[in-house]
Amino acid sequence: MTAGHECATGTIVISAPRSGTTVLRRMLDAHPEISCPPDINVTTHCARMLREERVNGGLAMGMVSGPWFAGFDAPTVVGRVRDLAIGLNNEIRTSKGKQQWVEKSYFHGFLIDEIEQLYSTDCRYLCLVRHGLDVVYSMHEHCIKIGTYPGELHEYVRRYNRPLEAFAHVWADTVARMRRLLQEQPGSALKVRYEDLVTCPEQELERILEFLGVEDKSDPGTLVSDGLGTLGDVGLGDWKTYQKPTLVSDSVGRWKSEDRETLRPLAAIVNPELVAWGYEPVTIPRPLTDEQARRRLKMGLEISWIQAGAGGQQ
Amino acid sequence: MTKDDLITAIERVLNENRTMMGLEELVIGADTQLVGEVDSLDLASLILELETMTELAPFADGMVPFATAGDLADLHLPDEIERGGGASSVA
Repeated sequence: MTAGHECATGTIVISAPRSGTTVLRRMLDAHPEISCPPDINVTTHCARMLREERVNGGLAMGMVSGPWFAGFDAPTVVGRVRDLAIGLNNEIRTSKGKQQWVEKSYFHGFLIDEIEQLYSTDCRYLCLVRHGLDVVYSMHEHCIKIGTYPGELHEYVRRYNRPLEAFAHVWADTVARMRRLLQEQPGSALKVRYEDLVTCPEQELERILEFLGVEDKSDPGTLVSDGLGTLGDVGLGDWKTYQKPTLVSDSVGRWKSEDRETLRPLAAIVNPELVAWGYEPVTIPRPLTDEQARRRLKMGLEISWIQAGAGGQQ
Repeated sequence: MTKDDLITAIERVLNENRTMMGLEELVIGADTQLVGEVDSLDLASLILELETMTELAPFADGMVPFATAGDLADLHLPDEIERGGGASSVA
């Protein structure tokens, strides 16, 4: 145990944005021992508090290093922030009459270094991964819906001027860091694949409950029906999970209906991590020449014109 | 290359993409409707493949209306030039 005083009986869900954390949270929250509220963003903002800026000579400027000059070392400061994060999570858990808490957020995947610094080995980690290209298109749809690039996502969109490629880099960077977390903390971190969760929910939930060490191991199938079949606590999270009162897998493989020329650069970005996580790599044959790409667009538009029934009215 | 060869090629090219995407394969015959059923950019990609295969470019001077796999195959038959189909060589 490091310098914090609050006792952690908590778990952090780590994932890239739009990986299915809301559906997971609603099912876990249905368990009599587990409190898993909508995005409260306590860990997100406590983790962000630990970020330091470097100036010339490597001098760090931030809340962790600053108080050293007033006689407070970094472990003490981090311990205070940890107490805040764990304390708030524990209060929420207690108010719900539950024995342990699980916190999920849109942003955790961007903050794995800071979250590890914050909780060290005091917490467990559920590492939720979903196919990178499904995540890319879901991020795209979500950003349009909410009208912004939230938080750390904006950094990527500034760096890569094609949003879909920016999202692909978000996914690749996040899951690469998640793999390191799984390797470094094999006893404290569990890998969960979204596709397995939605196709074999009972089996996956049983594995998750085992990892969380709950005492009540009653039928995991009830978590699906109770978690998704009732409204429960509402708050920040994916709105789509509320549109269907049960678990569906129709969002798996949505990327397959996208244009292959758009997919090509995305595949190159996500393929190494797809393979590392046990997915099939996405192969897109033969790039087009510049002239072919122009002709393809021209013909595609002309065919659309014919499809619209306007071909005879040119 | 015969019309049947071309229809087989159309089926192969369309299914190459579908297999890659993990989708169910299509069975294509001469009467299979393409326009309106297959995404327009995928059809354009198919036409580029047929041009490479046949070294003929029936759409080089603009879109020639077609609807079925048979229509598209006809446009890529060499003797279609003689019948006034408009195919020109890409060479």
